[in-house]
Amino acid sequence: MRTMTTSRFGELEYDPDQEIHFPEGLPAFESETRFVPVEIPGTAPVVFLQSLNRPDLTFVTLPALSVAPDYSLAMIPEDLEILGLPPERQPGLGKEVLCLAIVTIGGQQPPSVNLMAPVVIHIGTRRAVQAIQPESPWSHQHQVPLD
Amino acid sequence: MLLIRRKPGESILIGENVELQVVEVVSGRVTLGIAAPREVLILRKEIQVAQSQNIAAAQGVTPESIQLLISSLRTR
Repeated sequence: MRTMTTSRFGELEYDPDQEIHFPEGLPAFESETRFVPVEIPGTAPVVFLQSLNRPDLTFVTLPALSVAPDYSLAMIPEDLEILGLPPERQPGLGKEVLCLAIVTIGGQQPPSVNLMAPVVIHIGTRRAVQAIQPESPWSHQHQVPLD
Repeated sequence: MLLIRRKPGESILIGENVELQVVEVVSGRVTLGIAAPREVLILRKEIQVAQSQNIAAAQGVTPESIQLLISSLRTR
């Protein structure tokens, strides 16, 4: 286990094997290539993505399927190649890849998730990409279904 | 918005230094060729949307907002 000091969690202990590598970073955060998923007891299904390079950078995410049970991917071939997956078909959700949607909270708007451009993680290699999907029917501001 | 009809191989000029050519149209997809000075930023629009959404998402992460999200998820 390793530890790092983060703005959100204070002293964070993490397993280096859990590290997720974004070869291209994320849009607007292109130099952030190393993240670790953080799950806090009592906050399921929320998965925090903590940057290992920037202690102040944490994304709140929800598994796409927890927000939209009928969710499916429409990744472009270039993004599939970044993950080392065959470009001619969509990968199996939950089998080959995990799919996390970044949550936007705060401000006047209700919480929303970006289902147009989810974080897709190759389960085997832990390589990841924020897959911008121009042909996805899902919104970049999909409202989190709340009561 | 200005609309201009072009066929594959034809170009339009934007300003003095940018040329936009329609290279190919295949089953509803257009391949564009762009010749522009290095300092001109060229971005697929959906990337700009993802950038601003990511910036908003990173800024909204406060202990209060996280608590609010979690408690509203739990009441479902």
